Amino acid sequence: MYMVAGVVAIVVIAGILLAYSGNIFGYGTQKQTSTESQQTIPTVREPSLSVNSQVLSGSDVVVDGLYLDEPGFVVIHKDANGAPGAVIGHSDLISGEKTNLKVAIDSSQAGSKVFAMLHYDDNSNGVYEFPQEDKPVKLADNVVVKPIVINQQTTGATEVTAVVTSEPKTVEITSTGFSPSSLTIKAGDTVTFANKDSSLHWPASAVHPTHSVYSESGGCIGSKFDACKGLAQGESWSFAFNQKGTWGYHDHLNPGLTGTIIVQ
Amino acid sequence: MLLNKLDIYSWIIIVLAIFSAAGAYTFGWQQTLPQVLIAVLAANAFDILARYAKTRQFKLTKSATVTGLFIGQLLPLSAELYLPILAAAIAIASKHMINWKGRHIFNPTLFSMLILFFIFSKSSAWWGSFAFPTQQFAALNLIVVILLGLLITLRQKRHDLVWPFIGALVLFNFVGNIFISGGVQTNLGSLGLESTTLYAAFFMLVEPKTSPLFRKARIVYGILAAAIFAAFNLLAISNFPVFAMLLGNLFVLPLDKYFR
Repeated sequence: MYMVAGVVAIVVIAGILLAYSGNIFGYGTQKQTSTESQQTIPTVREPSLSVNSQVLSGSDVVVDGLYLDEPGFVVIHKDANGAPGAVIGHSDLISGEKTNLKVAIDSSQAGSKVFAMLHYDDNSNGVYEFPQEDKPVKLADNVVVKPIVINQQTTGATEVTAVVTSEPKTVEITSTGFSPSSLTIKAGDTVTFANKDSSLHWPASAVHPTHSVYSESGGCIGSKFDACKGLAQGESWSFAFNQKGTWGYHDHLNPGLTGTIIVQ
Repeated sequence: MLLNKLDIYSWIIIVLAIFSAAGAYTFGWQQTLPQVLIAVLAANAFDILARYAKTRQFKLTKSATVTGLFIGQLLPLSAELYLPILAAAIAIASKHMINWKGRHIFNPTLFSMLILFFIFSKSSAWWGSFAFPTQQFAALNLIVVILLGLLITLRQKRHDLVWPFIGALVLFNFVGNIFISGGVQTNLGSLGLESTTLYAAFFMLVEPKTSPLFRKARIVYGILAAAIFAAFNLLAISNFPVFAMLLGNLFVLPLDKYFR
């Protein structure tokens, strides 16, 4: 009799705790609350640029990463004896952090090197107007600029062709699901699934639990599209999609979280 | 021997406790054990209350503990903790209210998962069925599920249900894959031989109150359930093991009546 009363009491107490706190044991909504309650330390982040040598993809230069503390532009200059020369392209108005930003340029003037430079939108009209307006971003009197080496691949005697390279595609996993939930890629592209949540997540092909929809055999259950383990926070898993089609996938540990990869 | 004195419910509790412990090791105890413990406590509490309402007697049953363990392992990892309580309430209500001549129509755990799916869009994870780490030794988990499953099946004397199910499942999936994907699939998962389906077969399909009483009925039921499983898998129906098992449950009483 006492044991029964004890069991009932425990369940009732657990229910009351849940009703008032939303969750217990350190995950779910409590996790968000504790994050929100952390004291934030103000930091000043400086504008920055990161680039890599590359093969031109069409007429675009790709800037790997940048940060602009105020709205501005990435401007691409041609090489003039090792220094930034004439402008051959610029981005649309941007601000904050950007990755893999494509900037259209006049590729006929690109040569073997170009320079990427940050400019502010001084008069806040969203139009790039240097040299009248929109001066370069400076840190301690130094312009923020990075050289980009352009590798060109030739076929035949004189023809120069642009090579289409696979861009890195990332799907972030959070407690609310996959972002983006739908992603369109080319056959052969690699998608990286990155877990940003404190809970484990296990991306795998539909359908749960057989994982047999993706039509490439392998993996640990029903197809090759399977992380085969729960990814911890900060961990990622990459998979190259060689099969064309629309491929549904899910989180094997929480199958209500789903997404789609469209391989063209 | 003490082990020989254990009834089938005790055996299932031991096996499910092993899966829970493995899940706590593989996925972390915070993401697994709270929902299992709460589901077990809640299922027992609701079952005691339901039995008291019927008989005016307090009685603790092992079947409620089994239901709680199943609920904890079918819910998604890190489930909000009101879910095991709600699922337990639905399962116990189903057990006591949806029955025919003392037999459940639906497996109570699966019925609760169905309701959670429709209310909260929560698909069942079945993490207990892949609780042993597959990334380190891919076949380990499958082997453990099969060995423990055989133990339960033989003790329940339900091998005449499980083997027709598995055989028919492989056959239906093999043929179905040829028609749907245009090729022969040899992945075990594509043939239905993956740990979750086997866990469902060895531990839930054979449940005495939701499986046929007569041998011929059990054989037919196994084949019928396999056909539903294979069809739902090939059609890539979300949450299909729950739907397939519950749909199969509807045929149990008619099959028993026919093969009596």
